[in-house]
Amino acid sequence: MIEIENVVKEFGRKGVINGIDLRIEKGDYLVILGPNGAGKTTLLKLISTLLRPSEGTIKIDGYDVKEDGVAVRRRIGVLGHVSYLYDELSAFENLRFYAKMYGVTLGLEEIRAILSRVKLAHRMNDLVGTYSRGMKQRLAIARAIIHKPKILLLDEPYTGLDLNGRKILTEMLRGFQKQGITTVMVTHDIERGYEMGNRLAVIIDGKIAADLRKEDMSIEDFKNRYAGLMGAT
Amino acid sequence: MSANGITIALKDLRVEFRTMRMIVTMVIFSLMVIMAFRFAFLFYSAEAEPMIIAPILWVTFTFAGMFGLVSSFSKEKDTGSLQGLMLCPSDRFSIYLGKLLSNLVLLLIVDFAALLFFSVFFDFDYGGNIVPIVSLVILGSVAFTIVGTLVAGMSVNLKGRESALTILMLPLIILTVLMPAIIATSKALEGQIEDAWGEIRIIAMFSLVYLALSYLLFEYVLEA
Amino acid sequence: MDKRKVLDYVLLTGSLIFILITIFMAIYYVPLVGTDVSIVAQKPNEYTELELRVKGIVDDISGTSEFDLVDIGNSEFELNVEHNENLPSGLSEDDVVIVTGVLVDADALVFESTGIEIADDDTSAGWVAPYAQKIFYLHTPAAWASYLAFGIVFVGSIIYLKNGSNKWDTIALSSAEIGVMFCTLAIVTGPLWAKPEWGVYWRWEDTKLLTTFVMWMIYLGYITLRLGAGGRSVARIAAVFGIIGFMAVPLSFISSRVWQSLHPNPVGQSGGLSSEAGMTLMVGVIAMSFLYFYLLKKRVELEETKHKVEELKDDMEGEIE
Repeated sequence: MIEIENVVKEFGRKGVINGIDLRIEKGDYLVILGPNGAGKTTLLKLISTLLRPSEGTIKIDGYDVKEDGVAVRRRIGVLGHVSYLYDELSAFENLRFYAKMYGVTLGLEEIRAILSRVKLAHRMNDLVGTYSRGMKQRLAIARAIIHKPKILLLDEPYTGLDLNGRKILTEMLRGFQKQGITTVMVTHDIERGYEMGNRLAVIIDGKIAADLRKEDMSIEDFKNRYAGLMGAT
Repeated sequence: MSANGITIALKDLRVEFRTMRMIVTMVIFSLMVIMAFRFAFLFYSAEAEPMIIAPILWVTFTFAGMFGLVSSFSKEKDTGSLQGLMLCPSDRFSIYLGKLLSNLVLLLIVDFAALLFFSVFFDFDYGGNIVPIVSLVILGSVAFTIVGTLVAGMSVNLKGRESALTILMLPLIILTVLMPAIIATSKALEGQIEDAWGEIRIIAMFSLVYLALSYLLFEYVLEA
Repeated sequence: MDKRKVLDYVLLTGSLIFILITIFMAIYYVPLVGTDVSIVAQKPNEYTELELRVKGIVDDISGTSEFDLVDIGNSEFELNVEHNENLPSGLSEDDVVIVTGVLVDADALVFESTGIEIADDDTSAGWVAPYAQKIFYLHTPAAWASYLAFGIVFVGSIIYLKNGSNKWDTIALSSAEIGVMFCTLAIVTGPLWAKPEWGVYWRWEDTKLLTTFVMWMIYLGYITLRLGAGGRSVARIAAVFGIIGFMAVPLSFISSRVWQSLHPNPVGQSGGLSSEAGMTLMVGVIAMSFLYFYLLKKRVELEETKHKVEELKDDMEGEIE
């Protein structure tokens, strides 16, 4: 469960998040939509302890992001803009390194199993630098779930993925949803977001402009209302 | 905390020794600095003017070291993998410790290379003083890296990282590391390492101070 | 008149008045050479050999000096040395030089020794260049104000890191700039005194000078860091630097006490200053503190106005769009 209370984040003097209240229940799949620069990624970074809120509190399963960063980070899996991977290491070495950092001991077979879920087992010992964009993104997914997080934070997870990769990711995300894993996904793709989530929030200028359940509004109405605001299709 | 630090350091060193990018550049850089000094002191001999030795060595270590420090965070910052480290469930100080260890290993390799270059280009034999000199180089490098890793972590978030690192770091280390290390090394070269106890204590004391400050502040240094 | 203006006037007039008082006191109130050089003459008995202990900056009594001999009991006499250009300097105040000679006429208190005579002048001398010494009443308060300013940078940085208060970030930034100004003043006035007193502008081997110079460099770095402006993390990084850089301040402050230093060490040392000099110094410190707070307040207001203008600009751009 994620509780966001009156959160403000300023960069220098510029408010990027200007007072957000949000409560994300366990098992929710929240999709955050909004135009570029609205503060979507910043909000995700605040939840994942990469940034510290200037004001307000964020709690994850009761742990404050400012005070108990370590406990928060143990519970979340993050798939960001960038892959967090090392080009100079192989996929296997990358995963083994991150597993160690998360305090998980994974043997060769376990890593192979994880990699085969993202269809990369055959390239396990190749340097990540030789991977295509889509392959890297798939490996990044594997990296994000290596410690079996209870909460997934996804920032534009579909970028760079080819058709096959999208299918793999969608399947995985559906699977996590069934397991009751809380997911927050940031995207500017309204259709994809509507399809995946069960709850939609729109952020504009660092504020929540809309927060509704999927069943409350059809995609046509949603688009009519918010597509213009987002400057997106 | 320290276990994760070691994991990070081992990862850094594995990447480094696979590409040899920094280490080669730093060693060549130190070679260039020593050569520059050789030409600057063309008509001097290290045997005849022993007071030039310690300053040349420590200026070389400092510049080669700063050269290495800049990239210790910047590459990961640019590829975004620094965020990956920050997302790991451990204290941010463990990132500092990891970087400290990997920077220290690189710096020591460069230091020893520079000691060798100096001995070759200035035709100088460290003789029986090699053990105290090497110990001082290790102590000074530990102190240098303790300060340097903190400042490198700071400057990676700023525009003009390289100049920021130099401007912030030099005044911090001049009195606390550089000067005492130069004085102590000069004493060691005269075979009087036991006179350098005061300088050694200054270096050690400030290393601890900076380490404590890094422990308290590194969390604030890194923010994506 | 609104309240903020009142404080402005109080601080500004306060600093001006105290600066004027300091100047007047330095010129008219403090005796020309009122520091603590004194010679203690031990007289085992009259008409016998006399041992003089010279306490002061004198390290070689080969020149001609004039003394004021005061009976302080215990068959001891205190002699105050009048300023004399021939007196070399270089010893710290705690150095004791033993001078022996013969007391020729006890009633007239005439003392003869190699090149030493006693005169009845009541001025005492401690400085090679007593006029240059007046700069001390600017130099020390300026240095004090820079310590104060850097202390505020330290405090502001901690508060900013703890609760992200932009106000304290502005205070830290402003205080650093003003501190560098005062520190520059101290660093410039120091050599103006040192040249006539020591014969050189600067002594690199002196710890007090060195630590102060490094402190100055650190805060120059701090300002440079903030001049780069851009980047959203500048304030945070600057706050971290404001904390680690503060280490140089106590180092500079205590350096002349802890390590051997030629730099005079007036504050907090018993008998280091005559009461007149001490009083003048205190007024000077008050003046500089007033000036510091006045400048700080103005600088903070300026910074806040700047941010307001930027905000307005942003709003206007938003409306135009």
